[in-house]
Amino acid sequence: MLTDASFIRRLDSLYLLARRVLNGSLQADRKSTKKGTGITFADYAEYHLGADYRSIDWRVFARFESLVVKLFEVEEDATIYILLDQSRSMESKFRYARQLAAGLGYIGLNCLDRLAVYGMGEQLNPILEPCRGRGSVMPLLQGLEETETLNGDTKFNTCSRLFQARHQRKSVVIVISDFLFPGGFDDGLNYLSWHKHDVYCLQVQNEDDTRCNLKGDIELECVETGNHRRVTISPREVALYEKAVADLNQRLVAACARRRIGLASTTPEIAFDHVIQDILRRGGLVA
Amino acid sequence: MSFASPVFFWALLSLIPLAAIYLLKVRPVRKPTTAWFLWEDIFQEKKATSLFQRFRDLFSLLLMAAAFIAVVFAMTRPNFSGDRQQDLILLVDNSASMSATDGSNIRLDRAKKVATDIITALNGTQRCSVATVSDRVKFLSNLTDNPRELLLAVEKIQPSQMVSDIQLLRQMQNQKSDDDQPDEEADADKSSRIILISDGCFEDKLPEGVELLKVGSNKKGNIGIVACDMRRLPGGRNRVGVFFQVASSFTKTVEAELTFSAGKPDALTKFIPLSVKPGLNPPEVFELEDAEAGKWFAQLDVYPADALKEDNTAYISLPPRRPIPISVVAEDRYFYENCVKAFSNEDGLLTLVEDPGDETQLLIGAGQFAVPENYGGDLLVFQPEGESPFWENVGEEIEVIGAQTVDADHPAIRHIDATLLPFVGARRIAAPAGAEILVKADDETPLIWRTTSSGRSAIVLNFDPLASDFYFSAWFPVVVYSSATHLAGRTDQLPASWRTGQFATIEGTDFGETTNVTLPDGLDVEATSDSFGPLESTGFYELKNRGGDWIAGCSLLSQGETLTDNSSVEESAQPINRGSSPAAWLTLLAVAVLAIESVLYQRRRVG
Repeated sequence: MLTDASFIRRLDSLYLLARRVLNGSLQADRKSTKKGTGITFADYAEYHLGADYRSIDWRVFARFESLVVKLFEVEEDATIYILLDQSRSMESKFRYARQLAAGLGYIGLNCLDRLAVYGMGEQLNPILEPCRGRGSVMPLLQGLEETETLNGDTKFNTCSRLFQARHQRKSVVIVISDFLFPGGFDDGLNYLSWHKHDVYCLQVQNEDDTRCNLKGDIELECVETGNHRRVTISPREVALYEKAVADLNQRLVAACARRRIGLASTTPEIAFDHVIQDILRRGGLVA
Repeated sequence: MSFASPVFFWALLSLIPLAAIYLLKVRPVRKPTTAWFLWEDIFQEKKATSLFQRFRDLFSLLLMAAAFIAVVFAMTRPNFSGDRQQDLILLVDNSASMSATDGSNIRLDRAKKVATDIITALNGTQRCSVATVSDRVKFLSNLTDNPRELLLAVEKIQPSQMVSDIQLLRQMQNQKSDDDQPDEEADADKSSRIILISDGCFEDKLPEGVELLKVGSNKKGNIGIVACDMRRLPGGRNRVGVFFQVASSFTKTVEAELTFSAGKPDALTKFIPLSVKPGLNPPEVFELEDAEAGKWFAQLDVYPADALKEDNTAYISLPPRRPIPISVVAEDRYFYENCVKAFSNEDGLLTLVEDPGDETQLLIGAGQFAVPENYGGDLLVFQPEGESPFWENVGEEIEVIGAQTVDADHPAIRHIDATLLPFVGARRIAAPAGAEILVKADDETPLIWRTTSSGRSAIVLNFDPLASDFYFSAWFPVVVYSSATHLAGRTDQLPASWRTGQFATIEGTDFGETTNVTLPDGLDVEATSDSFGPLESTGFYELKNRGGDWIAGCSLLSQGETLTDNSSVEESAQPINRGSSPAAWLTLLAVAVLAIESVLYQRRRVG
């Protein structure tokens, strides 16, 4: 259960570790090019009518007899979007993927970032609407707990377009999936990176995905669409399949590197908090 | 086509549930995959074989059904050749000609192979018996359907040097006919079937009802000695005449060499080059001076070697001169002594000894005569008088009007007409109990008889030879000679070489006395009869008894065995299964089909 106290304690410890390792860099007080009412001095500007007179630097006026106002950097909170693959192909890895999403979302909420979680299937399915603060932790965990896999292919490209249509602000986008998309992942990644999102891919594959343990006459069934056909799996087919999966993963690595997208591949055998710790130690969710 | 156990056809019904189980079992297990689109790419290129894959299960089912049907057919033990399910008697000819080689193997090996094939084909469905045929029929197994026992019997068959005697088969066929009388099983189909596996090299016609399976061919011709004899000739102490005859199965005249050796095979005495024509060649004779008594070898050399070597050597025995020492005790001994001397001069078989003693083997007495005390030999007595263990109750003289021959073939009188002898001076007399009456008067008075007392034998002639002028009769020396040789156990002049399968006459002994015999292979045996045999091996048999040491030569000497050309012999056997049985082939087929199916199954299981 994602809402268990023990699980939440693991998230707490993960957050404490995150603060120590990253020294607060994940806090929501991120610098912005916008000037406003922050606490960090940015520049001086000539006073205009209507400007906030409380910002006038009287010391400068005393020395130079000109009215200038002090400009401060606007401190904006970051928005983190987690796109969780909700297709049937994630069935065996779905709990693990939800644990990863919960861990990353927990850290984000505790850092006062805005967080939204969407499930990816044939379309985008909201799991947690954008929210902020520690008070949203339980809705996050409950939302993830109640999420189930869905029928149909994962249309990553479609989901990317839908996501961009909803959230045009630059944000951090974390994609948690096995990336076994029939329609490919290039267009989706292109779309997200084109719109200046900080995209981070978290690939979750287990041995059933990368290795073929099938042999002989079987009826092969697609877990997502239910399509099936009778086939004979010989060692040749096994080798071809494993090569195809390896090629796919290699293409993903290349695509992410080309677009400066962060990528981590993991399997359910590795504890989710270890994965997050590793991510944090490598500097956070940036490439 | 017939089936021994058609009830097993019911097993075919189980094909239906078996097929159902098979179809359920071969349904492939549904396996989910998370990367369907990758598999689609992989299998796109395998569409060409999809038709085969679609029908592979059906094909496998058909294979399994075929294997099952083959097994069921095998269990029904089918017979495709129309061979009647009769009891078989397999007779394997192991006579001397079956040792002929056509190439690498001798004919007997081929016959054993044919017998093995037939037994294998029986597959335990028919009863069979195995026997060998040469000079006798020797059963090596009982009538059984146990293939192992039958094959073991075939394995035990060894070549022999005997001559085929097909008449034995006729006797056996007659015996079989008697046994097949319809008391138990009237069905004629159940009668046993006699199959002779032979090269067909026998002189007699095969009896009806005996089927011949021919083995061997005349690829390699053969030359052999089919007759050979060596006899002493008058006119010299060691002059002998030699007779021989050869036969050839070659299709053209072949040059050969015949050598005669005395004592040992390489002591050449006579060399005869021969041009041997196909078939039986005319006999040839020649004379040898100063021929030593003992073992003689007649050896035929043919280049290149012929098919059968057993008939290339004849083992000849030339006995030493052994005159029978005879003494005469009679008033008119002149006639008797001259009679003995006459035979002494001719062939040296009889010799006169003046004073009867230990060396005397026969005593001729007439009238009142006294047998010396130191004499323990046999007697030839004319005109018996007085007391003697060889006659009883000598009475008055009788007139013999008519005489009857009781045993005309007895060696003592077989060369004369005893009824025509002038029995003048015959007396009423009685022969001792157990005496062998040879000639008697009409009133049952014995006239000639042979009797034995205290280990001594005597031939008694109940008439006065002087009064009847018998001394001047041509039959007088004949009677003396025949009686003397008979009492000495040397009635017949024995052959210089016996044929294998014959019984060799033992000289110098009586029936019941022991003779030690050393066989050609060195084995020592004892014989207590007046003959020894059958002689199974060629070579020399050395005999030792109270009469002295004797040698008997034994050779093949058979025209039928030597003429190994069997190209004109036709098989008469009805169809019969050979080799592996149909059931075995069906089982093999089932195994092969299952092997194919197992390959397909393996492909289904592991791809």
